[in-house]
Amino acid sequence: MHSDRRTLLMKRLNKVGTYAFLTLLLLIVLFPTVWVVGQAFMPEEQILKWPVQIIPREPTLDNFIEIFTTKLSRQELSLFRWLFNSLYVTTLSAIGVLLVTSMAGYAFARLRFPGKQLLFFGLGASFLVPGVMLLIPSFMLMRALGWIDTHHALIWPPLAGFFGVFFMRQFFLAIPSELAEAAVIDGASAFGIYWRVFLPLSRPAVATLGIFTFLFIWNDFTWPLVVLNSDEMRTLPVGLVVFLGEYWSYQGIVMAGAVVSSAPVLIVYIIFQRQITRAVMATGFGGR
Amino acid sequence: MKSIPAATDSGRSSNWALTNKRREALAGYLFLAPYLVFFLVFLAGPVISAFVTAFVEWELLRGTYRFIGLENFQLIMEDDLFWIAMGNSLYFALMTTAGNVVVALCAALALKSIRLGHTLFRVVMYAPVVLSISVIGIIFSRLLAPFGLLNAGLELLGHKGFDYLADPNLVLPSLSLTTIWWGFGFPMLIFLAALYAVPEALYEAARIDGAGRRQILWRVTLPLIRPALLFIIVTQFIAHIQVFGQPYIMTNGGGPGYSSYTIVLHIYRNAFSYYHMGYAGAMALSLGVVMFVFALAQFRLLGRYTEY
Repeated sequence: MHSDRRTLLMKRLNKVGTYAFLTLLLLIVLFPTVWVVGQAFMPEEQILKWPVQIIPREPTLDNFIEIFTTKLSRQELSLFRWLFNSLYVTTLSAIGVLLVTSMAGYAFARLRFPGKQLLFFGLGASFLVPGVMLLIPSFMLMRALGWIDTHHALIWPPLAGFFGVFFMRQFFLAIPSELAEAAVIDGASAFGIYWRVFLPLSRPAVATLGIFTFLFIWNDFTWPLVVLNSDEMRTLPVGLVVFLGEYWSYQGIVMAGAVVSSAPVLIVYIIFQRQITRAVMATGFGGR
Repeated sequence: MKSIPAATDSGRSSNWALTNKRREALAGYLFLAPYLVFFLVFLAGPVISAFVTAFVEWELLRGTYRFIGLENFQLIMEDDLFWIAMGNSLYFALMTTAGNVVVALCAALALKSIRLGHTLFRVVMYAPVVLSISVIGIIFSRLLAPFGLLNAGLELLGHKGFDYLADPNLVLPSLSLTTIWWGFGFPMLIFLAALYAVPEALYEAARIDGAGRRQILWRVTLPLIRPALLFIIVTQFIAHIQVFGQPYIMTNGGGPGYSSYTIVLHIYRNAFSYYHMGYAGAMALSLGVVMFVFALAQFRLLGRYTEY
């Protein structure tokens, strides 16, 4: 009896400890975020106060107006240009990745052809090649193609990534073959079965892969830094770092830039958090 | 394959089956073709060229390109900055991997044991993972500045604070903490998935046998999620030894002095500031070998009882 009450007490204490720990972690994650957003809406005089201010006393949009209207370089660009570049490159590349890798994934999942196993593992071996080893050869390839400082350099190379093939294959494998057989009897061609049966059925997988690709390309830093060198071509993350060099002393403007740059990915994340979480847990890939 | 012909005589039927098989194989190759083209051009080509480049003197500015055997590797041996940078990257990778594993494992264990608020905690803790390094770098160079958020917090506790990014001894640990803040959500989800896969009956059995919480953790939970642990340790190490954005953005490319100068910064600088393509390629290949050796060692050390 006595020991029962003790274990119950222990259990309660453990629960309290668990929540205390998680709340601490949550605050560590949230606090810098709140501070950044606060500073983005703060007039510069308040930012300069010590100790650090968290909540803007007179919230202002000045910092945002400044980054969107000021000419950021000799070419007279505004942040809109980089926002547009990022959206453009990311969207085109993601569509390409979805088309190309879902077709390859379909072949590996549903069609029989000689050399399939060997090919799958051969392509999969590309997972083992570290990114840093590809940096210089890929740069030289872009030079040879005349793609330095063009958006081609950002749009096309992601289509070679094996993750999409692997991911779509897993999903296509799980679709019952009765559906495909029905389509064959209805006289559908091989492409018709893929396009009208399998692709619509795998809408959740396509969406998840699309989100992963979007996040990956949107957030990439090293590659666009290497292959793009004019201000008007840059993507937002790189542009932000370059631009902030000039505005480094105005903290409110810097923070407004950080907010503008992360808003799109955070919105995508919050809308699709369930799919993202599930895909990360199932595949072991983190979306970056 | 518009319609399936009625198999009236057996000879025609087997003939049809053969062409059907061929058709399927042809369709398979056609479906693969677009991906294969991209794979060959943007992955296979560069991989081969990565190995060739390491043995070539390739000066982009002077336009020289000649095979020099192992000379690039001899240069590496004499390059003090290479070894400083390699040491910094290793130190950073070990620290960040260890930190990430501990924080993520604790968070996953805690998350698994609660119901109320589970989604909120999980969603918020993973959120930084989806942010770009440029945003993380910008935010944390402000946060860690002498008059930044962290020192303001320390002042409340009566401490005068530190100059995190300008102190040679603090700069790498500071970049590491930044990276853990940015990324622990990812290993957390992987550990959480592994924890959910452990059958509840095993915990029951351990409890009936009188095992305490600590014993259950060390004797049941950790051995059972060993594959996930191994996967995370190896992939985190490989990711973090290639650290680049953090020092590029936060410490002006490796400062103070060379305190946070990493191997990928050194490769980047040699390739894209000095255009020593061959030499930079040889360093990238060396780093690849180091990563491979470490990954192998981690498999040997941790994977002994793991079955795949």
